[in-house]
Order: sequence, then C-alpha cells, then structure tokens
Amino acid sequence: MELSLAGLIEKEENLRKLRKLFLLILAITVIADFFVERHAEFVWQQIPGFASFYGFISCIFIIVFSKWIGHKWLMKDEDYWDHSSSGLSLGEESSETGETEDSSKPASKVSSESEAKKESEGNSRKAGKSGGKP
Amino acid sequence: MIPPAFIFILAALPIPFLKNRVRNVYLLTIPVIAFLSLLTMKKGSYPLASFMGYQLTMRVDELSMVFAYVFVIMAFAGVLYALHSRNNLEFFSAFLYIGSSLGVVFAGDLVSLYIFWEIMAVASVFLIWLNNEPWQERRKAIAAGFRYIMVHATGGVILLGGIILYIINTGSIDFNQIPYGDLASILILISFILNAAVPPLSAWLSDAYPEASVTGAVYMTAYTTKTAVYVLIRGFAGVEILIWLGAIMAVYGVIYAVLENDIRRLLAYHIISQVGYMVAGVGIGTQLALNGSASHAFCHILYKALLFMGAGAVIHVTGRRKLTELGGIYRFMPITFFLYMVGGFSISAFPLFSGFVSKSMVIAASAEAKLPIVWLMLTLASSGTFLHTGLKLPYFTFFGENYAEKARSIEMEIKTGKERKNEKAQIGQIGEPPLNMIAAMAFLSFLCILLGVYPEILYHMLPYPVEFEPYTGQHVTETMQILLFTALGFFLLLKYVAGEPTISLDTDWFYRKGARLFMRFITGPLASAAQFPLDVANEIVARVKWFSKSPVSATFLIFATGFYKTFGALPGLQPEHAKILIEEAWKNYPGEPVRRSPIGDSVILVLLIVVIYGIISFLIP
Repeated sequence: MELSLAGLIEKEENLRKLRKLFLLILAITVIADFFVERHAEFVWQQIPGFASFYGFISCIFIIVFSKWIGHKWLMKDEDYWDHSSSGLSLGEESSETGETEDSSKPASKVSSESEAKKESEGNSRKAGKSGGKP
Repeated sequence: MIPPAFIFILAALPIPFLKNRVRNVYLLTIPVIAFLSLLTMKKGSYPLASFMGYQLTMRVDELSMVFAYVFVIMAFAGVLYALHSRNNLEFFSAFLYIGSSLGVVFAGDLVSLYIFWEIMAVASVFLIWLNNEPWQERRKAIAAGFRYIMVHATGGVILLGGIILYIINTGSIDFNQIPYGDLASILILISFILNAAVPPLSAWLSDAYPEASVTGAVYMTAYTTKTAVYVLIRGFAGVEILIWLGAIMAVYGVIYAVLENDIRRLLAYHIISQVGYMVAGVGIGTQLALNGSASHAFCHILYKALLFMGAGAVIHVTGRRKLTELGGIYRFMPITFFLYMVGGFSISAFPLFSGFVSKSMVIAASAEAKLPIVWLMLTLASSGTFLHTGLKLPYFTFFGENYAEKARSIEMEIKTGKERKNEKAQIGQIGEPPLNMIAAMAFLSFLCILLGVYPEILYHMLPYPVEFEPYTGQHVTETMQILLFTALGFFLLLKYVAGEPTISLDTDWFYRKGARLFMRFITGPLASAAQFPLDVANEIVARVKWFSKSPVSATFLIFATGFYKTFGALPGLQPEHAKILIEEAWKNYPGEPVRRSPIGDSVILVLLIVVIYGIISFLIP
C-alpha cells in the first residue's frame, strides 16, 4: 500500500500524467454542461459553463480576500494571547498573580498616602506652633 | 419505554469503575441498545414528570427521530474511535453529553429542554478540561474550557430568561413554533443561535474544539451545534433573518479557514460554515429547505466527525497539530489519508458522497425561493469548503512541499522523542493510528458513501415528503464544475495558500480583551474606590484612639493650640512662653498613663458641656 502510493505520486512522469488527466476531466465536465437538460431559476443557470467560471473565481476570491484581510488585520503572532493574557482565564496564573500584585499596589499607595497626609498635618501643626514665634 | 436520554445518562454512571475489555464491550453495547430502542419507539407525546404544576413531556416525531438516529450512530462511532483511551472520565462526560442532547431533541416542553440544554454545556466542557494528551498545553485547554463554559452559561441564562417570559406571556410550556417578534422569542432565538455558532456568537466553537482531546473533539463536533439546528427548525422555521445569518455564516467560516494553521481549528471553522447551510435552510422555511437542513445535519455529523477523526489520528500519531509542522505523512498513514479524503469529498458535496444529497437540497431550496444572493453565497462557500477540507488540509498535511524530506524528519523526531521518553504508549508509534480509530473512520466512511449512493434511506426519515432528485444532469455538472475549477484555482495559487504560523483574531477578542479590561478596572479604580472608605474609617479610629489616651488633656491641648493659632497668644502668658508650653504639651502627650488633673480642669470641662448643652437646647426648641 505504502510503496504503491509513494511510487504512484512521487514519480515525475506520473505527476505529469495526473495533471493531464485532471485537465481532461475539467474539459469533460465543461463540455457535458452543454448537453444536460437544464431548468433555470436564475439567469446564469442557463449559461453552460457558468459554474466553472463561478467556481474558479470563488476560489480565487476566497484566497485573495481572506489573505488580504488576514494580513491587514486578523492574523497575529501565535503567542498573541500569551502576551496579552486576560485575568479571566484560569490557566494564565503568572499574569494573574502579576495583576494581584498590581492590585495591592494602589491600595498600599492609598494607605501610605493617608499616612503621609497624617504626618504632614502633624508637621503643619508643629509648623504652626513654630510659625507662631514672632 | 425508557427515554433514550436516560439510557445514556444512567449508563454513564458505572463507567468510571469499569476496566479493559469489560468496559469496551459495555461502551459499545449502550449505543446499540439505544439504537434498538429508537427503532421500537412510536410517535406521540409521553408524559414524563410534573414540575410546578406543568406537565413535562417527551415528544417523538419525524424531526426528532432524524436527529436521534444520527446522534446514536455518532455515539457508537465516537466510542469506537476512543476505545484505546484510558480516560474513563472522558467517556463518562461524553455519555452525559450524548444523553442530554438526546434529551433536547425529544423535549416536548421548554422546561425539560432547558434542563438538558444546561447538562449538555456542563458535560461537554469536561471533554476539553480532561484533555491530558502529551501534545496539549494543559493551561491552554483549561483556559479555553473556561471561556467555553462562560459563553454557554451566558447563553443558558438568556435562554432561561426567554423561556420564563414566554411562559408568562402564553401560559404554556409546550415547545412548538415560537412566534417571532416579542422579547421572549428574541431571547430564546439568541441563545439558540449562540449554540449554533452564528457569528458574531461563534468564536467559542473555533476557540474550544481544537483544545479538546483527539477523542473528545469528535463528540463535540456532533452534538452542540446540531441540537441548536434542531431547536431552530422546531421553533423558528421561516424566520427571515436566519436566511441571511446562515448565508453570512457559511462564507464567514470559509474565509477564516483560509487563515488557519491548526488543522482541527480549520475544520472547526468549517463546522460554522456547514451549519450556515442548515441555518439558512431554517430561515427559508419551505418543506424542501427544512428537509435540507435536517438531512444536512444528519450527513454533516457523520462526515465532520470523520474529518475530525482523520485530523485527530494525525495529531495522535505525530503529536503535531499545525499545517506548517506537518507534511509528507501519507507515507506512513495511507489508510488514514484515504478515509480522511472520503470525509473531504463528502463535505465538499461530490456526487456519490453524502454531502451532495443534502447540501444540494438547501441550495435548491434557495433557488426555489428566488434568493439569488443567498444562492451565490452558499455556492461560493461550497467552493471554499472543498478548497480547505478537500484540498488545502490534506495537501499540506499528507503531502506538501519537499514531502519526502519532511516525512523523514517527522519520523526521526518521533522516534528520537520516543526513545527519550522511553514510552511504550500508543502515542509516537510510526504508522497508522490504533485499529479502533481506523475502524471508526471506516464505519463513518461507509455511511458517507452509502448515503451518497443510496440517499433514499435518509430521505425516508425526513419530516416532510421528499420530491427531490439530487442526481439530475444539471446538479451533477454544476457541482463538478464548481469543485474541479476550485481545484484548478488551488493548484494555480498553491504558493499562497500554505499555512502560516499565526493565529487569527475572532469575535472572542471582545470578551478576552474585555475581560482583561474588566479585571484592570477591578484591580485598579474599583479596588482604590473600595479602599477609600476603609482609609477614612482607619483615620477616624486612629484619631479617636489618640484622643482617648487622655481625653481631658487632649481637649485642652486642641483648644489651646486653636486659640494660640488664631490669636497668637494665650491669655495670661507671654507669646513665647505660650509657644514653649504648647510644644512641650504636644511632646509629652499623653504623658503619664493616669494623670491626676486638677479639679479645676474638670469643673471647666463640665461648665463647657453645660454651656454647649444650654446653647443647643436654646436654639432647638
């Protein structure tokens, strides 16, 4: 099985034969389209060979359009989500702990600020007393 | 008669305790028993239980039977495919999942529908979480499963809201065609199309399925989206917006599939595309279209599972899941390749394969309903389907450029990796996957070809009488031209279609980024805001504590300091003396723990309080 398939496909001359066979089948389907009995719901269904044209441009359109929109916008590096991991997912623990550290920061900042305020108030009191010295 | 849902759910319970051959025989017998019980079921409505004064019923009719048959067949194939697995819990959750989806298709009322709907979501998420295969990054599976269950929990809540409103509005819990228009129907529709993976509510599917285990993903492809198609046919046939959503969906999946590098994610986007045909059929709503949707769901389950099995077999053997890392492996997996291609031809709707007899029904229905744009979109999507699942994926997986070399390097890597790990496990064996996998794929391939050659089997099951002949000259030549010229385009643009090592942004961006923003908000501004009242309270406590150390001297100290600050002196003292005095007092505060204060101090305090009291009582009558 393995040998026969490899032998069939990996030989250059066989590939050429396959290509010819493919083109022959293409031709047959288009020609056959001229002889079938057709009942058309839409205008284009009356044209023999329209389907081949449409299939071909569909294929080209899909490839070109999606590659274009992909490269312009949608495609990102594979580690895109690892960089910008969200706190929602369980798995991304490293980032989560990072965020909780962040969360502790503002809180501690606030409390230290209030302490600083207290101190400065005390200072101002003292300063007021010292300022009272004429 | 036991409802088939309960056959699977009850049968799931002993699975974790079974082993080896007993387990395997047991697992394969249950779907057979369920299938036999389906054959004996008679149409009608059966009361199940009563709930808050409402009667819960089980309904058996043609439409539910179509889905039930394919669900049970799929259960057999999925179990067979997974038979080598030692992961008993995966079988357990798979059985719950299968059972609950059977519960959905036989639910005659909205309450039992909702209950089974939720069991389905919970059971299926374990197929992702239980993925412990060596090629999978564990944390990715856990994170993807978490997103999956969050999305479905949201959908479930929306469904519950819709159902409750519907029951209040109509007073009935029967699940039949739901008149579209009011809020209740819109909520129910949203939750249905969320499970059908209609964009923009589709990202959960392509996000989660490829992270499930090789065997788990096979079950997942079959049930969630197809139960959604079933409930849409039952509840929303002929709702026009579904035509357009379906057509957009069919094209959307195809466009994304071009960009995908992960083989099972590529196939997952094609689930979205294929379900698009079914949703469009539901929207068209004619008998032909609804027959088309139901039969396409039937065929789709079989060939999509086959494709996932083929891709899964490749991952199982090579441990690789990306097109850019694969190539040339037809050399040691020729049988897998051929069986995969049967699935590829079926999904592409080649004549004599199953997709042809069902997809052409939906497309014919769009022509019959005079919807030219929909016809063009659906036909474009079928070209794209063949382009990816029939050409791109197999070409770059099994052949590709320099395939001989690539195959050798993969072979080497697996062998050396195996030696390093010194594992005797099935994974890493060069060659075809385990025999049970091949058998499952062969079973489904046989069914795909059988349905393609002899569609009457399928057509007899459909809910409406079928007057449709798929094998007319025009259908065949039209399809063949579209597919073969797609192939021509593919080989001409071969350079540009190769996979690229990237991922694509989908609508999950909104909740993944949104969740991050939300967490930022919580840990940033919200945490600070929550901290503020605490700080104020702490400050008050600190001051009271300070004051209570020696209330009398504190009072004097504050008054004296205030007096000194406003007037620059204290009565009866030189300014500099007063300053020194106050500074000393602040320094010494609170001084002795128990300070004997002169009686005069107390008298003055009492006087002060009396005066303040007098003023207050004078001012406030």
